[in-house]
Amino acid sequence: MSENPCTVPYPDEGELRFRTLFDAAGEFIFVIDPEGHIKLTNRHVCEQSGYKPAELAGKHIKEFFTETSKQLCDCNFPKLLSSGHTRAETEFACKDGRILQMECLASAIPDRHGAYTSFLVIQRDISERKRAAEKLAGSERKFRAIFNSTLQFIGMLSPDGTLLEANKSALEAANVTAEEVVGKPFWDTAWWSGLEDEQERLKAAVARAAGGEMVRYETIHTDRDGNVMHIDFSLKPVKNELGETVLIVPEGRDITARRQAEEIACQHQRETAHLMRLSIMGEMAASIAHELNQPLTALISYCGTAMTQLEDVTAAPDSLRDILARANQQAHRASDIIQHIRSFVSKGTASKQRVTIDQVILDMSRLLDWERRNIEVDLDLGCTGHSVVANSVQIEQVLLNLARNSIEAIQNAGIEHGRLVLQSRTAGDRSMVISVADNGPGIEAGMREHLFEPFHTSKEEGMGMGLSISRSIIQSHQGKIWLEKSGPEGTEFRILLPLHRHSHD
Amino acid sequence: MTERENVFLVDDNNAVRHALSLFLESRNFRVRDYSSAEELLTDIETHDSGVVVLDMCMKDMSGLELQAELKTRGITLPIIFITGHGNVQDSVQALKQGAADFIEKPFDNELLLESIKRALHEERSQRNQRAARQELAVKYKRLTPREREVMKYIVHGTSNKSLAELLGVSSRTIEVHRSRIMSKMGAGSLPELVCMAITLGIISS
Repeated sequence: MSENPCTVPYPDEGELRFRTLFDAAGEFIFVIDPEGHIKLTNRHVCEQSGYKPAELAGKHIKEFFTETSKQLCDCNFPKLLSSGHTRAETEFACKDGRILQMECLASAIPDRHGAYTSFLVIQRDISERKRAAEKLAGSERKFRAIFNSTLQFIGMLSPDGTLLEANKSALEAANVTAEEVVGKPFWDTAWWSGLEDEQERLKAAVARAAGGEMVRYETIHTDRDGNVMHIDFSLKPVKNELGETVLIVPEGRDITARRQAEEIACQHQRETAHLMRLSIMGEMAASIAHELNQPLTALISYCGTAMTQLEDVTAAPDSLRDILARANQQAHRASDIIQHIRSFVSKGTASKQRVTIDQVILDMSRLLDWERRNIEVDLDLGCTGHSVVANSVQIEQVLLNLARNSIEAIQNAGIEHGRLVLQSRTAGDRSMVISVADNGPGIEAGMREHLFEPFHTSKEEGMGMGLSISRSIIQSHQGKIWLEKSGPEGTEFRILLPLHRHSHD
Repeated sequence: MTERENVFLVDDNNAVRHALSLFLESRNFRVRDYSSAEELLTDIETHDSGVVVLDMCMKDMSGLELQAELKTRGITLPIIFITGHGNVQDSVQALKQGAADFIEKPFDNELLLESIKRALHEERSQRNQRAARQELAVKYKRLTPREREVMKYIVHGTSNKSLAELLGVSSRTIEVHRSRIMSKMGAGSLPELVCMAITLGIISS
């Protein structure tokens, strides 16, 4: 190689090949002297940096570096001079101010005596790569943040079930560190210790997930304080382009609170159902008592009269008196039993207090949340400042019964935009009207007449007591209940209740 | 035995009505029985005497409504309620409206009998008081204006002497007035006359 290739007028073929290669290279190539002054640059430098060859030639190479890189250059230059090569990451300042991230490689070019008279500096633009790496690190950080801050339990498994990662929530739930669990078969980790059935279930589930299936089931765990946790557990396979499972993502969601809320709602429903049954019993007992009281009244009176009249008949045998006395006694006994049953069933269920019906409607509507599904329930309450004297549990039963009838009718008819409207309004100074209206299919014309009679029902499993008892409850509140309208556009029931006299305070 | 007392029996249950009628007839009552409030209202007259035995819950009109209706018609006979539903509210309301008694079904004949007797006794004594008051009023009317004036002073405790001075007559004249008043009113003593004056409302008790 000659000392100054730029000035060679007629290069030979080898030299020409080298020059072409030199200029075509996609990297910055400089030839510098031992002081660092640029002797030669390739075309790529000029194209990328915006400097003309004349602006570069003869200048110290570090003039084109940023301040940090200049210092780096000063540090590395002696090493280059002594060892013949060095490598660093530098920043190159373009003419327009852009900074290029460069991977820089410098090697000495020995002359024929072996002395370092010039050096070859090759710089590769790694800005793009650095940006990508930074972006990747950033997204990794974000992913980590989400991965670790979510309250859900998330991990990663290899297809054979080895745990690769577990997030913070999962580790904390089992009170373990990543080191204690990573690398172990998932089913042998702390989350499943002592739960043999669950371990077997998990093994089978991992095998299915490895086969490409998404597996999901509910399990019960105990946390470190010994509380029962309901977990919605799933295993999702992650596949490569060939459709092979390369990763399995196990995920656990703590649904204990939801389960508990459901349990409370169920409990409330069971209690309401229980009170409803008590109320049915009470109503039945009251009507039986009333029906039986009439013949018993007659019977006791007949016995009494017969006994009195017998006293005047001297010839009558004593046995007849005895028989009548016993008959009378038994009739009294029957009446006592009825009295007993009645006082028993009426205990606690019939006490009335001043209640705000709007509040009762509001409370009742919350009970519907679990069964209404996508049916819209609208409240339009206009009696908030008014109260009635009522047994709120009984009124709630009546409203719940009407609302449930509506919901069932809408669901059975498959109506898409089901709607239930509960409305309350005052009616004059002395009463209020509650309306329960739906957009269900309406009540069969033949049914409407006998709606409130017992044992009339359109439901296969119904007893036909709901509306009959509702009516008897409303009547015991000095109110009225009736079917306002029913047709293909819906059904509306109304209830009238007397207002508490001084309810405007 | 005096004239038989009336029992107006209203109950929509035939057996109850029959049994109670049988019993009450056997105890010498004159039973007039009705299966509805309507029937009673068309039959009963203002001058009727006796007692009404009324079932609380009937189909057409409740016992309480019938009670109110009788009152507006000026029929003030005592009412005994009998009921199959021991409802506290209803019983309170019935008693507030002036019911004589409230009996839960089923009951012993004697219990009803006691209640009827008590109501009739009460009714009779009230009727007697009314009659006595009327009798007194008739007697009082027979007094001359001057005698009525003198009686007013006497029952308020004014002595003959002061009264004579007050009215400007002799004590003797007052004494004459006084003995006439006593004999016309049929009073044996001054305290008796004072009682009569209270009944008549001449002085307040």
